[in-house]
Amino acid sequence: MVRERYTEIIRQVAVNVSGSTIDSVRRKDITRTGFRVYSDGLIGTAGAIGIFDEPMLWEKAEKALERGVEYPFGLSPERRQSLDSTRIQLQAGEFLEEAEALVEGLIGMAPGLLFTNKVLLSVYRRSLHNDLGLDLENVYDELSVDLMFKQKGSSGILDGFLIPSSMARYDRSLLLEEYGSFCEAFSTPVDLPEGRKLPVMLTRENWSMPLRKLYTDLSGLSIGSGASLLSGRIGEKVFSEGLTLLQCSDPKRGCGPFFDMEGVVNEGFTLPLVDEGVVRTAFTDKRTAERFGLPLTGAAGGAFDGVPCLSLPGLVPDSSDRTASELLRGDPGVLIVFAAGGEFKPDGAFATPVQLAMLHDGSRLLGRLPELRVSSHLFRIFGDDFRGVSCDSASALTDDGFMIFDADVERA
Amino acid sequence: MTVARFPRGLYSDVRVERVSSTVIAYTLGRLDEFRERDFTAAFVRVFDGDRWYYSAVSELASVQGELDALASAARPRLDIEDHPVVKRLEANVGDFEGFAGSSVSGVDPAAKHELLRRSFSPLSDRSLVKSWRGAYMDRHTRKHILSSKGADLRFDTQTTGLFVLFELSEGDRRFRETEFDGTTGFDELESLEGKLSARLDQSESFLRESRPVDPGEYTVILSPFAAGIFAHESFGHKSEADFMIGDDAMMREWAVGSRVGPEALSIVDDGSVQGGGFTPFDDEGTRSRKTYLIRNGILSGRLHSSVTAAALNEEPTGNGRSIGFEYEPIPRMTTTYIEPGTMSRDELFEGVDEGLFVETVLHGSGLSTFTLAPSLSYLVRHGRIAEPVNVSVITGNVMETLGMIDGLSDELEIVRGPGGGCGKHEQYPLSVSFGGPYVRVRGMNVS
Repeated sequence: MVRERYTEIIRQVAVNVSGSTIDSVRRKDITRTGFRVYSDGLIGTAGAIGIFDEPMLWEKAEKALERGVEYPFGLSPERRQSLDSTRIQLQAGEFLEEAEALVEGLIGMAPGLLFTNKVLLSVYRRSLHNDLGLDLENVYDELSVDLMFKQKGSSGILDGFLIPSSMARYDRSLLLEEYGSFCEAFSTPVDLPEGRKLPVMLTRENWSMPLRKLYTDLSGLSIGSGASLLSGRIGEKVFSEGLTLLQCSDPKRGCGPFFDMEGVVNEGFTLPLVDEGVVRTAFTDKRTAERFGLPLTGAAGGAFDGVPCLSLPGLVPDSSDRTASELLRGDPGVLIVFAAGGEFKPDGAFATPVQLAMLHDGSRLLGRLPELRVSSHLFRIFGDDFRGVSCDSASALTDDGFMIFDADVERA
Repeated sequence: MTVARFPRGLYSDVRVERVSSTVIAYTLGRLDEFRERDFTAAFVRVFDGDRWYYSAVSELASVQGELDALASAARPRLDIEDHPVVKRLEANVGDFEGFAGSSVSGVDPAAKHELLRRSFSPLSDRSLVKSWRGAYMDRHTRKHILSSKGADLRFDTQTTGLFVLFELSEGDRRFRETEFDGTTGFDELESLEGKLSARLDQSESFLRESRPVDPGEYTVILSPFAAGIFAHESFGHKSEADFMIGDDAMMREWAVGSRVGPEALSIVDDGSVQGGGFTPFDDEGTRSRKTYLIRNGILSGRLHSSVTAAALNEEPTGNGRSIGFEYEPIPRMTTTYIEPGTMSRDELFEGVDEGLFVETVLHGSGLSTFTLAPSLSYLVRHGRIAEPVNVSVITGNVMETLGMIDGLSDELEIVRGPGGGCGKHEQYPLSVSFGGPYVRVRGMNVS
């Protein structure tokens, strides 16, 4: 019998803003511990939130073997690695003052807007240990400025979100400077450029809009079972040469921890699922890889006290060697800031209303566009219409570029 | 649990949650998960009249220390009891646990497992079904709220449910659909077998026969499921009063007493309806109640926590809810539904010469413009359901669309989901329910 223990500790400070006023501060300090035992091709699990009676929980996990959950896979062997991947040089103790100054700065520069929601600083410590010598630990952090805003006098619930919202580093002056440009563009209405097909630009905050279809159709379960649009197409060039899509577990790129729930660690913390347009593999955990004869990519997630299972890994498109201006080739870009309610149909067709979009020339925001409707298809977005991901970052506080592709854009 | 001392000059409360839950899951016929979880944890709040200070703790022994630590950051005031927020907080006392004798934690796990296994039996021997996952889920949450105003309240909530997600494929055609059921007691939960078999038959026909819809303006009949999502997404979220704080424009648009729909239209939120949204008290200890958001076409109310009620000089409605011990209560829905009208379902369809019937929906969203992403949809011709069509999205302005509702059937169906799954800001998923009658709406934008 092999024993394995998973631990996650989350420490978070969240400052809540309501009507442009800080109305609450929340602290969180939560420890979750999962206990797994493996025996005769079966797995048994148990867990605790907070303090725990360790012998009792190992006993409970052993008892759970009787449930009959099969796990006939090799356990991750000896590997010792401990990383501190924290990026934000901000202590929890000074965070409230920093958030207060940030909100005050926002109100000063945009008195016509009402801000709501949260500014959060989270530090995660995750570890996985087993009797075979696996000993992995990662500490990483996240700073999120999840602030929505609306114009005073607007009848909507909200008019948009501030971007950037998640950042690789923190500098209040730089951030306020960027938010100032954003708010200025918001208050400058511009017309939608001529032409039905226009370049659409997405910052990291909205990459999931087109990637969500690949989260379903690059899944090992979907590809292996024949349900995916990509089933039977591994090894085939399906997408644009400009698309290299990485499964990413790099905490420095906002995809931590560097190991999955089965203890799999990829070299350099990335693994290409699509390489220059060619579908290389599906993302898999051990169960899915074994079931469909696919390579193991280390995409296991799951509950802290459950059986590891196939989950959605970080998907990051590799950046090109061209800047946003070069990718736009002189065309004006439609930067989508806020789009809710869109959907891919199972055949890959895509349509979404866009509640807030800005016109962008590749180096700066030009103004606020009217409400739009954007439509395309998976194989066009990442195929002939894919221009690439810019090598210059969308913000001085992030490392991620703009994803740019052509799509049908019309006024709502 | 006892609290030795609430800090003076401050309002404070503690919400202790004791949670028992089960998840049993299968993928393509193999058992993936069999998880039983029990834990106790707490959320602590302190209010000084200007700011709230919160802490989520997984050690009950540290509750007193957390109270004291939060209090040290706050600014006590002698008149805190007179603050409008504090005056609105109810100080209920008593034991209102309704599921103590029927807790899912006392049900034999083998019986849960067997119910799930019977549910997915219709999936075998169907060549179009390429992938599927099925799960049984339950959760019994017992809450104990203690406050500096004297609240000492115990109540509980419970959900239990089944769902199966399946993916069909034939040639280049793909389709994905779910079947589910949910309730509050294990004994009332039935196998999905019959419903799933019928849904699979319907989905296979849809996969083979559906074609893209011609975009345009349609008269749309929403099923109770679709109508419930419309009520929840398009109107319910706008009724959550935290969106109105500090916003005179919203207050003008949402002035109680304004006409916003036809006489026949009433939309309700009610935490006392058994199902995913059932909660006898909210997470501030306020008793839940039936709130008319729209009554006979007139805007009649909104959903409040104590904070939003005080800010708008109204009364709490028992809608201060959180998804769990790690989060603060904010205004959220419970069970939100459109009240039935007087037409029969047949009469409703007979009034449509050419239109669209939306039976199931993948998701919806609601801002000033709402969206519905339909799944199973059919054209309506001469009052009858005709061929299946693929619809990407239905959109419309919320207020204008309410005015275009011209028919409601006479039956009410509350959707019985396995726990619901409403998201708001960082808090997802919250257990809610929704529903309504069949609803006919003119001039909806379909693409």
